[in-house]
Amino acid sequence: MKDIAQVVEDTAAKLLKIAATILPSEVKEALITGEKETEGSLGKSQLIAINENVGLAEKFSKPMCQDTGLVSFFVKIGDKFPIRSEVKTALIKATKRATEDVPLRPNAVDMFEGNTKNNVGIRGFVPWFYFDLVEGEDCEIIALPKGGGSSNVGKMKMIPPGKGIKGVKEFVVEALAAAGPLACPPYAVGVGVGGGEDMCMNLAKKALLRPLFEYHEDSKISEIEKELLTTLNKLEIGAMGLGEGPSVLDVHMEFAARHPASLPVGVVISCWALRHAGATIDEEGNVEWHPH
Amino acid sequence: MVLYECLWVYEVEEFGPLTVTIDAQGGNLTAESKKNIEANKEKILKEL
Ligand code: SF4
Repeated sequence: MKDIAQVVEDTAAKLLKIAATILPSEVKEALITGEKETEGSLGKSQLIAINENVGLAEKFSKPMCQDTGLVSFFVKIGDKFPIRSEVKTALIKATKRATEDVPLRPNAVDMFEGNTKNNVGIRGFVPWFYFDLVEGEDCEIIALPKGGGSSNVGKMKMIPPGKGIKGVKEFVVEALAAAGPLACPPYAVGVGVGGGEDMCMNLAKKALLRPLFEYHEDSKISEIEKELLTTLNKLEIGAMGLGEGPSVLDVHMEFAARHPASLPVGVVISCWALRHAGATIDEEGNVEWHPH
Repeated sequence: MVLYECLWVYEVEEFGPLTVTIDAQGGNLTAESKKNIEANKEKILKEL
């Protein structure tokens, strides 16, 4: 019988390494297409540099950017998976280990005590966990170490409910225009609508985990995703914000019910370095790596 | 007073080509891009 907590730790450490060093294949393809289709030499040169950098990172197993993100994990624990709170302990250990092994940049800074140097906060909360309880005997782990630069341009707003879906679209346009060249475009955009002021941001982040070009199963929502993708590219932010080439690679939205008096909208933006990787562990400790 | 966020000294070979975004003659590609984005935003919001 395998030591399940150890399997969780080993898997999570490897997921952090994959996320930091290898872009998901659809992101790689989108950036290569972007390079081919960009005519202006200013934008093209940026995409050539990004793609060359992505290739070198993968070849040498080194982080694709000096920032390796603030670590968070999305975890679904099945009813019959043998461990529960130990999963949390294993993920914290994995974060410390990956910080040494990959190495990841130490990105957990305590307001009063300074950098913890191991990506784990001394007051809890970092790495951040999104836990979900599900049926079955598996545990799914997705690592999302999100870059600070692109997190800085995230936005949430409680818009007047009367503004409806048009208000949602306006806010997304405003958020992306404000991000402009600041956060290493081309961007992937996650939008969360509804719930409370925290939930809309959580949903927006979760939306970033859906592979590029995989649209919402509800066609009412997928149509808005595609419309926003076209609209946001009209901002002409361009590769690295220089006005040429793609501004936004894709837009994904998640909706939750809302309070009648509120319409929360969260926008989470990722730079081109859309770092995430996932795996599913069964009750015996066999690991299935998600396509990457 | 100049406040540096961080300062690195590099020794490099075959560095570049590079894009100069802010030059010594007042040229600023980032500022130009931001202006263009703002103008596009106004247009888009009217058409939404
Ligand atoms: S925004 Fe992304 S690509 Fe830019 S420095 Fe941060 S992590 Fe790196």
